[in-house]
Amino acid sequence: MNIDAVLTSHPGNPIVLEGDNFSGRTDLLRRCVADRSQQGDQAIYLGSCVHRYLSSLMPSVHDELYIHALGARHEKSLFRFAESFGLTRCFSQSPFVLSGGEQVLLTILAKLALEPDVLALDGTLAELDQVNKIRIVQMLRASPIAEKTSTLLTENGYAADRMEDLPIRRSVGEFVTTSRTPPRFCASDFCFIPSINTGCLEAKGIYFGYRAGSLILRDVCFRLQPGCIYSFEGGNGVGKSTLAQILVGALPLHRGSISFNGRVLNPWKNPGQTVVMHMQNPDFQLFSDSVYKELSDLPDFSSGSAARLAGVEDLMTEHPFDLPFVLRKRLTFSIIAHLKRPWFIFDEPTVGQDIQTCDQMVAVLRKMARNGAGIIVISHSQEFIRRLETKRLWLEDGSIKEL
Amino acid sequence: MNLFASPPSLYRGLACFIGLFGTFMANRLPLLLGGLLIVLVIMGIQGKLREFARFGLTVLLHIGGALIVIWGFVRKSGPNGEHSPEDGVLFAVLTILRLALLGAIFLVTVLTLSPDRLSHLLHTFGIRGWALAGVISYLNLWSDFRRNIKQIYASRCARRLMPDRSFATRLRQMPYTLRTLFISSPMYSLDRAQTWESGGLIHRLERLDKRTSATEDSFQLSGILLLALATGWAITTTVYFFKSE
Repeated sequence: MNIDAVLTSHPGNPIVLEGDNFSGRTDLLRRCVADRSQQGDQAIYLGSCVHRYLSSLMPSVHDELYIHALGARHEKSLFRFAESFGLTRCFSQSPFVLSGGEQVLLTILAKLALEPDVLALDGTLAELDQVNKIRIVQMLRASPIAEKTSTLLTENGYAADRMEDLPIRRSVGEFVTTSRTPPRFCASDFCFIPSINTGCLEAKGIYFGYRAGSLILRDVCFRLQPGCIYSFEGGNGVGKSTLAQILVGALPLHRGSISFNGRVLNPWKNPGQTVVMHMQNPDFQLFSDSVYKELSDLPDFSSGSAARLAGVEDLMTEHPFDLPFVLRKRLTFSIIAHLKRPWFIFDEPTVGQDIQTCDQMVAVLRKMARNGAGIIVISHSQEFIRRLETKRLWLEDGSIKEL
Repeated sequence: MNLFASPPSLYRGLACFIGLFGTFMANRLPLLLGGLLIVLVIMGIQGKLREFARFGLTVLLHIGGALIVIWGFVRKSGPNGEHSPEDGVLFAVLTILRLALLGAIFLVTVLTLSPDRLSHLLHTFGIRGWALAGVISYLNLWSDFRRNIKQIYASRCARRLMPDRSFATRLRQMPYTLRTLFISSPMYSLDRAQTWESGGLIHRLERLDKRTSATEDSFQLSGILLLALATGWAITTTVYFFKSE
């Protein structure tokens, strides 16, 4: 069956392509976009980590949107949508300093402004909170901005997180057949070595802002127990990842204190000493020229547990950047899970992963917590959070509260 | 009309070329100091002194220090065979002043332009389509690199690969930073370039130029003043250059 025929038979309705990892969805979307471009249509592909699709031509969010919307039929509507998504408050900032979710919103709006014939969103919506996800889908379905555009999108993870507003769903198997055995993320013999030190992680009166006079975190206080799984939740751009990076020591603490087992820490001076973190974008967390070298510094490398968990035992000689996004994400997850530290933060670990992998990730995180590790998860997948049975911390207007 | 309002893009472009030429010709300390002082005054009016100070502290200071050490204390002579350490130091100071002036002229004339006016300027000089997008993108490259380096440091901290922030530890991160920068940055650049083409962004840049050109014909006087200053500078330095020859 031809994907073009499906697109023309459902004008104006976004079509969801369903399939597991390595089922050929990305190839199908990329091929569709390439074919349509060759035919003279405007076709745009957006994958995960959308910062790579920002134009890099414009220094501010406003200018990025402005250049895309220039001469578009619905220029004013686009800016109204940007306002409704809360992007106006960051109009003067660089598009690259926005949070992952805000970058998704900006990129989708900007690309829609170009009035493409086809817009392919390959796992792009995963970083959006539920409210923004629903709004974006409504915009794609009913707004005049998208009336000319046929949208193809893929959704990963749990069915409960999927969009009910998107009734047209097709299986990738209808369009492509793949014979290769996909690498599996396998938690069964995950060997976790707990840190000798375990203890409470406490934050008192944390304040932080990226720019003078504009605070993103105000008087954040919490006390987290080891052996538990916590989730930092909240809308896009509220500062979840920022807070996580302060705990790790990747960002400086402007005011307040962080302590471990009652002892005050200075994570900025000694980063990663108590807390380590799996970041949203795996590309910045891979540094070696082979998967083997990437894993070889781990404390329990010889057992092969890290490679088996990530499903990369047969890819040890490959360059990490030659792996697909899904595997790069699994690889960094596995690396962090194998470090001997008392506290772990996993920022959007399920992005791009299918249900089986999400289930395995749940098993891994639970095993770590059972062995005394403290776990903090940042995820917009409500089902992932539910299955982990996390203690939920809600971040809003700069402060945090327990749900 | 405000005399110091932003000069038109075309005048800025011409002033930039003429000013840079004049700086290459300048070979005397008082000339370079005088030129720099005038540009700093313009920069003060534009409110860009802080940016130039940052450039001075992060780039010029280090290069200047190294040049003075090499020419004044290691080689102890000028480049043309003058055999005194003072000549070596003088040569280093002239070089660093030239660099400072080149940077200052570029900042005052081109880098202070808003993206739409920069696009208009490049368009005026015949740079269009892909080349236009490429040049604008290159001008944003440095800030892109800086952000990437910060991100890589943060990511290495998160993996406990950077256990402290001492100078030696930061120096040891350099190979990893460069490797990742040179692999992932070109990868992202390719993706971005593809979106310019497939999404018709290049046509939008052309439209940006038309919209800007329609609104940009005021403030001629400030443009003429800027051009006059640049021309005066180039003539003076050229005259002195041939006099000393």
